[in-house]
Amino acid sequence: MWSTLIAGRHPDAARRMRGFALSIGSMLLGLTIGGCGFNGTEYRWQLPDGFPTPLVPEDNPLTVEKIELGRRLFYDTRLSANARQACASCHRQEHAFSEPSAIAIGSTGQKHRRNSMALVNVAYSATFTWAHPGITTLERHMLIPLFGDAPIEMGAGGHEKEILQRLKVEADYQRLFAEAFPFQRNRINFDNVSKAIASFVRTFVSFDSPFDRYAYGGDDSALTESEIRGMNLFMSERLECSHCHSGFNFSQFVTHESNAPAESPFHVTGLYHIEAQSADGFDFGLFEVTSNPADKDRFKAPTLRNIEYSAPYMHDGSLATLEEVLDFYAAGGREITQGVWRGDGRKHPAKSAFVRGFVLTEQEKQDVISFLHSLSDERFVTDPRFGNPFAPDRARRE
Amino acid sequence: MVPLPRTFRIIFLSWLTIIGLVACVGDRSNSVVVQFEMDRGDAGNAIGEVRDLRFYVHDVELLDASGQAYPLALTALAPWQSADLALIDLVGQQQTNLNTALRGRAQGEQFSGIRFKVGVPFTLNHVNLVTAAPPLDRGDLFWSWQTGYKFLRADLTDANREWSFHLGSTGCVSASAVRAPDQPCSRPNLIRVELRGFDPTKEPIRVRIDELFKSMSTLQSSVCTGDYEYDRGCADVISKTGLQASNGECMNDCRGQRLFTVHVSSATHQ
Repeated sequence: MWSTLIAGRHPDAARRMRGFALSIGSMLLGLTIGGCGFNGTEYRWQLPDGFPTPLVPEDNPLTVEKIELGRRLFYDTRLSANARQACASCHRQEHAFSEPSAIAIGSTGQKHRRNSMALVNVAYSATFTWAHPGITTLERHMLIPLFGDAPIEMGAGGHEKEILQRLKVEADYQRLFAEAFPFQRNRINFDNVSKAIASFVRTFVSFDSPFDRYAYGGDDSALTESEIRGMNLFMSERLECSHCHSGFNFSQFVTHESNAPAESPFHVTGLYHIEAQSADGFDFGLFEVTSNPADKDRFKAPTLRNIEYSAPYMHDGSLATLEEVLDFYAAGGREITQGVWRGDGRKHPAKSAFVRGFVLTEQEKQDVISFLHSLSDERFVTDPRFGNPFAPDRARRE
Repeated sequence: MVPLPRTFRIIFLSWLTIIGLVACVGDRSNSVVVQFEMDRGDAGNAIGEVRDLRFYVHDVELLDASGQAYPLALTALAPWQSADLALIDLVGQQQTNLNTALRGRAQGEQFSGIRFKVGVPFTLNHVNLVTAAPPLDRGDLFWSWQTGYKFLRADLTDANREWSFHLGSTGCVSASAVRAPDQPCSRPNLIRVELRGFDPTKEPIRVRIDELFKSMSTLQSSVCTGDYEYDRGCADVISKTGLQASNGECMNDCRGQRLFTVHVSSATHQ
């Protein structure tokens, strides 16, 4: 259109203009193709209106290609030394990417002291694992299940070459790694493995529960009366639940594009307060990282989204049901009368000021449980984008 | 295009000049910074760790010797300030990321006092946290749509226990915890602070953590976070705010408040 306009006055200019337009056009085309080919396709977050965009590390931009590669790796048992366990073995989608057992068992059969954490909205997590202030990215976190040896989880340590070789010989992986990390030579390495898995897990976003439709969607009919009563109790000063399970992700550990770094306190809930000075194998939580005695028995308050799917509960899975968790908080902690871990958690000196205990009627208790169930996002636990990409026969190998 | 008549151009240019001059001369305001400082007073080391000490501030006015008030227009500085509201954080995360000052512009030059409110105005207090603009995008300062924000959050520990004082509006009526009230809450609990006899742009306002700590030692339970009227442990700490627990309003303009002072305490300044 410009060229016609100009042509009306200066016939020569029209030709020049067309030539110019062509060269600009081909430059743009080149850039576009180059852009896609070289950097990958930028991933577009699908978040409900108003929800903040998660932060992504600068050295691992989120691309569709990395997510696809990460999805394969997440579900691939060959990532563990003995090829028996994938990430997905302990992080199962139908359980909000946790598993229905108290503690995790590693690929070699070693017992973990802790319950597999659910992977829900982890893109917003300020810190990872049950109690570690220093692990602030998924990429960094990934090294623990892959290489950790106390206990052995996937047991990749010492088997790096062997594991990478399994991937290198597969045409599928050659292609997927090439698409995800096009600039690099020797691109099939553990740095890229962790970047790809982190990218995939980062997309596990869940904001489509009945609670969301009521609270953020403004749909008054999305919750039942019992759920609303339970929500009011949950957010009341009487129960104090929402002090630690606060904000849009029901966790204090939230960070994203538009907020300042979150205050990230770790709490003593009163689950344990062992009398013994030391007890082999006892999990002291944050203390084990910081060596500060004041940090004994401190753990992170995880998100409660999809909590219905991720039983059992607490850092060691020692409470089987949500009803037990509610009773535990109602009692203001737990006393253990037998064994080496005996002691009265209710009297823990560093117990959170918000775990004071409360009394609920049977109806109120049911209401709170109903509310917790209204945080379940069915779409999240069935979304095929997060599912196993392998054919069923491979999936069974897990 | 027909060229504009010469007279038009002259008129146009003179307007531009006038507007320019007004812009230059009209704004007589000065850049102002008002600092806050945590003061442990004579409680000194008895106070263990202060884990959190944050509060919202709005309606700030600087006062001159004659009592003339000059509104402080807050500068929008995310994540700490909007034009209407500032968040002061005297502890921060791991002793970093503090925000100890109000920043804005005010007319007047010689100040000898300040007036402000601690809290969030009703019109801003009951919003959707997810879409809230800074400094209201803080999940750990938000109760619910119904109750709104924690105006002041103080979490302390001593050798034996943790203690928390969270102040905000109560008696807010709405359909549920995640629906905003139409009418102001029956107990607004906004603290009015007026301090005189110092230049707030030169000397910091002291936030008396020792007064909170002394309240803590008289508490039956270890928190005061909502039931200000009937929780026995709240009586002492509420008296430090100048508020009346029975109606959430200032008693005698909150002149009895002890949390914000200008006088340097004896322990830190002899």
